[in-house]
Amino acid sequence: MDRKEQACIIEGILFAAGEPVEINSIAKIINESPKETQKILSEMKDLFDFERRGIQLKRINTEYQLATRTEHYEYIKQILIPSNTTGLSKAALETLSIIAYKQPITKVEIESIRGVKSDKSLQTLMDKSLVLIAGRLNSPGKPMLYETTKRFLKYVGVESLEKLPEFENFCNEVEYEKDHA
Amino acid sequence: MAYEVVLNSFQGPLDLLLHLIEKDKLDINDIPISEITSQYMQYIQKWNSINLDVASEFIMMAATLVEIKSKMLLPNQEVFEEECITEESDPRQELVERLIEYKRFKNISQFFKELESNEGKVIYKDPEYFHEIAKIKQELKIDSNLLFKSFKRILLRQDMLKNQENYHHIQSEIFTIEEKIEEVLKKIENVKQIKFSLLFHQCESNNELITIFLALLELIKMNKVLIKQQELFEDFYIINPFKI
Repeated sequence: MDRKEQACIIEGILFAAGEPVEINSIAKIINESPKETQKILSEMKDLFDFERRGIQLKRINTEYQLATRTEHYEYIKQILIPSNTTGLSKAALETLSIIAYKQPITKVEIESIRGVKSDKSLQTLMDKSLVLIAGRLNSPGKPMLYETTKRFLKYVGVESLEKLPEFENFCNEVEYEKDHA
Repeated sequence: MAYEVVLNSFQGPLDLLLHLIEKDKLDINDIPISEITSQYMQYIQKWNSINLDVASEFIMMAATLVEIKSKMLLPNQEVFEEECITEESDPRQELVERLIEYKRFKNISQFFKELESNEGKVIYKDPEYFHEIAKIKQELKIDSNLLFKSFKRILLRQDMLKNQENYHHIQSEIFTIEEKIEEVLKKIENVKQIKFSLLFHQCESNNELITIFLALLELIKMNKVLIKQQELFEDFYIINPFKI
């Protein structure tokens, strides 16, 4: 089959699957190497954007999924069944930020940066599958280490951890003054 | 000073300090520690006076601020010689670094909040399930946590969690130690001794088990029963002291 045919098949696969599909699984089905499949998918993604298709191709790590576009949300939501999703609390967001940039990290380290106890926000983040326990630190007490999950990437719409903006980008004016004082 | 900013809106002492610094546009590299400490203390005292529960972390920070303030006041031998405060000897240094790091993460939180709100507008489809198509059995990595979360999602979708008629509450039984003390005493009333394990024979819940155990400890303390054990880790006997 030619390229176009492969792209069509992939589109069908992703539509039927609904949930994210591993790139290797797609590669097997269209009988292509993962590397080539990656190329096809990248081209598809660009084409969808270029043609201003209502559906976009989203990538999360090594998985792909079809999704709608944020620009159209106001229209689409009118047909949706409303769900009760409120955003994360300030505390949870702070905890999540720390874990995202400092993972793997222990609860004590998180609490030391925030200056307050973080049990509740950690529990919330785990309940929402945004962070998980990735093991234990080899030090007295063997405290648990926290990391972000794939779900987290999807939650913030970032392809991979590497694609997160650099930590340095978030410093504030006061710090600039410090360096140039 | 206006205290419109309520305790709850501060995520912790660092948050409050940042607020004080930014509100008066203070130079974070040269914090007027005396001024900051007194403003901070005013907040704490105000919250105390309207009976708000001030978290211990706030109190700890108050102590830290006072400590830094006193260190700044004490004449430091090195400082005399240098005639200026170097970075290493500045008692505010550690706090400033903590504040800067915390502020960074506050900025990141804000950034994530925007991403979260943006991504909330992206819709994905759920998978379809086709029973006609034979599926190859895969090894599923399931743990009870995942199962529970999935179930909860289903319930939420059906709005069932809100509908109380669908399920009733199982009342947890309340066992009191006094009740159990009576029960235990009754059990050994007419015998010389009774095996420890027998006390829990009819136990139906953890609650009951724990209450019986506590009752037993109480009885031992009151010297109303004695205990004897033949060998380590073996079942032991509760002895009725009046039947010896």
